[in-house]
Amino acid sequence: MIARLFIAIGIFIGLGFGAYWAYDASRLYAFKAGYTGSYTYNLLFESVVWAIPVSILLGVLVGSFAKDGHDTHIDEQGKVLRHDETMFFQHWSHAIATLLLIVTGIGLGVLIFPRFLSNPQDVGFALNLHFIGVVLFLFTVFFHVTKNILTGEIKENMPAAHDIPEAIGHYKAMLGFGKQPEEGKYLASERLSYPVWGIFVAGIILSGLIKVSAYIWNMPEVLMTVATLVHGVCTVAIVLVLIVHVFLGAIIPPSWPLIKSMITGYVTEDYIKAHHVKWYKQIKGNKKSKTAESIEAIPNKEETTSI
Amino acid sequence: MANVPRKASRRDFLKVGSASLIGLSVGALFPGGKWLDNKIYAIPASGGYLLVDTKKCAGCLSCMLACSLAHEGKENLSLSRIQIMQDSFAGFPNDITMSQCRQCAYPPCVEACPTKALHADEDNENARSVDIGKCIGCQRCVEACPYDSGRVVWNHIDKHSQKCDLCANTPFWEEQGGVNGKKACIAICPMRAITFTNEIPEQNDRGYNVNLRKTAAWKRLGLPSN
Amino acid sequence: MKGFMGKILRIDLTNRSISTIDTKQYEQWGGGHGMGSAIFWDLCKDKGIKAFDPGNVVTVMTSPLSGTLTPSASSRTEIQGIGPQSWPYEWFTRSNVGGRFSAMLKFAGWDGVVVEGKASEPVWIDIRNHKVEIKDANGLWGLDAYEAQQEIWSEVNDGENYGTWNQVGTGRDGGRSTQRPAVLTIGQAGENLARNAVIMHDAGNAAGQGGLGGVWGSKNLKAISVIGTGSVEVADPNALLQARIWLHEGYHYNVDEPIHESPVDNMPVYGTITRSPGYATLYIPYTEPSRAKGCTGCYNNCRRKTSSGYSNEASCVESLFYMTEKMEDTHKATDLLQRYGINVYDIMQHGYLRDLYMRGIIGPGKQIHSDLPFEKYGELEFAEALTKAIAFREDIGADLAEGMPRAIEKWGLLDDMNKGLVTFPNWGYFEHYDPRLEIEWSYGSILGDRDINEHDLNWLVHWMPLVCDAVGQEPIVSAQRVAEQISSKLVIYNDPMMLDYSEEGIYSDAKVKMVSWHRHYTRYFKQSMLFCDWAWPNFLSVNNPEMKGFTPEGEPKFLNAVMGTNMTFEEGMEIGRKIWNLDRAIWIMQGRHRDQEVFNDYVYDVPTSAPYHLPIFKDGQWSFDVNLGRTLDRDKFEDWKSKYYTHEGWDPSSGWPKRSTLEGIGLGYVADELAKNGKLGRE
Repeated sequence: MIARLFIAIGIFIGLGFGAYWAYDASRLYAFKAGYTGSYTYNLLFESVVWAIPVSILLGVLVGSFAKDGHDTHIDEQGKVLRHDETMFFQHWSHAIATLLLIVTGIGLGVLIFPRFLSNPQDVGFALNLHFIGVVLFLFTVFFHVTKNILTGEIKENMPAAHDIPEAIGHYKAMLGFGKQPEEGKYLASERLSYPVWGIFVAGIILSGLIKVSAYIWNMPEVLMTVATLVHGVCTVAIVLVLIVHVFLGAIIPPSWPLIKSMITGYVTEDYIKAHHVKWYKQIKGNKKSKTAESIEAIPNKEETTSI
Repeated sequence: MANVPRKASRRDFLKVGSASLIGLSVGALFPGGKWLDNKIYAIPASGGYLLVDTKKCAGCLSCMLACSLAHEGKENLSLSRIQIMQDSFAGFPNDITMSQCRQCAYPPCVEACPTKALHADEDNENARSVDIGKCIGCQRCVEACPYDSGRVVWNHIDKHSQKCDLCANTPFWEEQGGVNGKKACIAICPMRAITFTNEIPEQNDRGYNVNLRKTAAWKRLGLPSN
Repeated sequence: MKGFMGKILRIDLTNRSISTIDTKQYEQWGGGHGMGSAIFWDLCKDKGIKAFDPGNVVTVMTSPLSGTLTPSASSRTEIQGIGPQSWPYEWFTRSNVGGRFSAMLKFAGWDGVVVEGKASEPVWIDIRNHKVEIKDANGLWGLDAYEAQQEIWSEVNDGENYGTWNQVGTGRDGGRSTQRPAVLTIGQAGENLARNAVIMHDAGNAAGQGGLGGVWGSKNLKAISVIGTGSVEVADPNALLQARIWLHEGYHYNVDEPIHESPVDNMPVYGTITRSPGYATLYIPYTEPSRAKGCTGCYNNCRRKTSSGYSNEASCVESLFYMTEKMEDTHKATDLLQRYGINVYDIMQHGYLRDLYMRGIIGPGKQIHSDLPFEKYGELEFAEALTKAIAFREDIGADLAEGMPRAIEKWGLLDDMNKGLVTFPNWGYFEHYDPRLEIEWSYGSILGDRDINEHDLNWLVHWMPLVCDAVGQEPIVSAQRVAEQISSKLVIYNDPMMLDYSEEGIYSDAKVKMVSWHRHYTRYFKQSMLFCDWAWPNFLSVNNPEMKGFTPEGEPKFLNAVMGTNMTFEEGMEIGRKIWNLDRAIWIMQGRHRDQEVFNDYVYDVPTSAPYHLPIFKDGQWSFDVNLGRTLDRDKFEDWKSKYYTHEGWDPSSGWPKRSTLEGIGLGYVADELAKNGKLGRE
């Protein structure tokens, strides 16, 4: 837990520095000598645009060295490590980046929603904060994608055909009709939503990169208008999906253990026995003792591995 | 796989290595965002300029009404790309200011724009205009204009910058506009206090103020010719 | 229909409450006056109240054309309410003011403002787009009209100077503007409930007639300020732009190369013929470097701004208020009127006061005591003393603040008025044009509520021959052409005899049609849709070789381009007729009867003694005559009235509208109300 606390503090400190940088850069200063009355400010998107491909690169680089760290056994206290420290860092830094981007993005104006800022320094501050958010967002997305592909976790995230009846059954059971189907580590409904996230995140990144290209090359106006439109549509979509995500993942009482696990990392054996029967069956044989450094691995026929 | 520290396999190395290589190559294309700067130093001069006679102006604001009508299709003084300011109680000639875009030879607004939305429009004799699709609303052009009432207008309704384009883009007026066409403010001014030239005017503090009152007819009215 | 902003602001000063009225329910009335009368009818239940009663409802209305490129129709404002000036009855009245106000009110998102009740303390109304506040006028009450406006400008901009973009409001509704707020304000005269107090705007625009400035004073309302950054929608922007250019090319005075110009240097009054810029001061030439100045959207730009700043934006009789040896003093006297906010038309005949002084009736210790410096009459000092006395109700100003007719009555000098020594022909309003001769003016005034101040025919039938005579020219066009060209445009009647001002002609059936046409045209086009009196209608323009005029094409052209309608001129006239009938009903509810519609005695008894140019038809020929030695015949005028009432569908015995007439124009509910009060005309 201490490690997670440090990670959280680290994220906030980083954000603090980023926010200060964004603010400082957005203050007006005299622009052209000989033209009194002409001012400008430092737009980080323009002056530090190289940070964007670098953040993608870093995400890929660090992600390729990251390990799949979730436990596949139940420990002595009857707890399972569902999300390790890497996951903690990745999820929460991504979440904060997303929130920062949404808030600054809406403040700057998206689709039909009004723009709440009209003072150039405020606009500059929002744009620079957006830039900070973009750098962090890109890093975390590419980190996640690289890691999960290389470790094979992606297979647990992506849906398979059997997920559709499983999800329907899950919701029916929640409403009181029928029995809960047997779920793996990730619920079928979660897996079904993963590609949805993916499409909109991909859309927002692609449109965003096209928009950022305008700071470097002379882009056709029509392309920019389309990119801005796509960016706005994806923003709205992501906000909606995020609301559902937060509601289903943290607000409703059945999900409280899940949100706890995203912070502490652990879920209880009873919890997975009740809600993630398939996963339970996969790992129930694996128990770790306090002193042993290695574990007894009892291979399970149901488990498949791949790289 | 169980929780065994993964040994770096050849596959992993190839993956990481190639990713890094691609990333570095792409990164090399971004030399610190300096690319656009090289093109800025040679912004061509505009082929057209509005000249005004502030002493001839009657403060009727018809030019402002015409400008917003031709460009936006509605009447809004705050969206007009020429601004006339006046004080009812002040004495002539300091009671009226005409603020039209000077199509500066060294335009700070063009230099300030990070996305080239505000640019010298090749299709309009390099008049400085805004491609609104590329405007990100950073408002640096608004701040960059050195003149008291900035000649770049922030359109608070459609959320983008706009400025005098010498009527090149007037979707609500069926006349051919632009440097080589008709300008709404000039066509509408009942005092004929706005005119046009292709030559770069003398750059001074007078804001392209010229004397358009040297006719006998003007003198006949009892109004000053100087 | 485009052009409307959709909401009318409603202010109840008694309860300090702010609400809105949906414009839609009043759109059928056009705008301006039509809406104002309809709103007054609805909101002022007891129409018998006095002008200074808190129940008086004041409407400040724009039109769909306000804030658009329509030439000389973009920024006039129509203000209405029960007015204290008219004598002896306080008729429901109207006054119109130019400048920048109605355009700015539209940009702020409003079609008008309605003010009811009375505030417990002096207040002003601060409108910034949709944000409206009733504010304490502690720092404004007591200031003159110029000072008050500058103080408000400073407050709205947080004490900053103007000359750059200012943020108006915050967040979503906020936009930017380089403009100063447009302010309507009263001066000290209005604060002290003068019956001849005006509502001022900028330096020289005033809602002058009716004493509505006093009404605001009685409501403890000092000013209404508005700044807006919004848009007025136009149905066909291209049509509007093209129409404006059409008008410029065909009818506008080309300031650089005029087709027809004054034969004399520096003679503004010739501009009544050419509409050259800066002619509004008429007989006052330019004596210092100046510019022409126009209201928002105007293409004539008739006023001026001077280097000294004195008499900025003044026009007509304001400029001519007080003649002195030094033009600067004359200008300063004009400015006193504007600052105190006094109706120049009411005290224009201050020469009569001096006559009383010379006759020994007014002066220190005389029958009418006064310490005013009459010995300094003709110098600025007297004008300063006189205007101050009226504004603060001091000395004889206390009587004059009741309006000159009431002062004369109080002084027991009505005989002077009846003999024409001082001329107030109709409802206690000063003689604007000769009531014995230019009868569309006098008849229109007596049938209404005030001096009409509607120059439609007046420019061509009177000013044109007069000015040509003054410069030794033949009239630009013959009397015959005037009669034929104007009448060809007087849709629906088109009778040349409507322009015959001869001794018989002024009682004719044709004049019934003339006055009827005039009432309906002005009620709709000029007072509701707010086409400016000094530019519309245009019967003849000397600025094209054929001397064509753009009425009746021009009015529908612009209305339809802005509103997206397919209106005809005739349809507009019908709406005008409806409005005129509604006004008639309001006056009847106030007690109107035909027996009251008589002129002051001098009109009937005293023959004209100064040349007055008008076209007459005599012995089969048209000519311009100077019409000396004429009076109005009492009986013939009464007969004419009967003919007129019949023509309008009113009962000739009373002058009250008949039910059939009212129902025919959708005013059955008005007929009901009149019937309830026993004031419906018999069929």
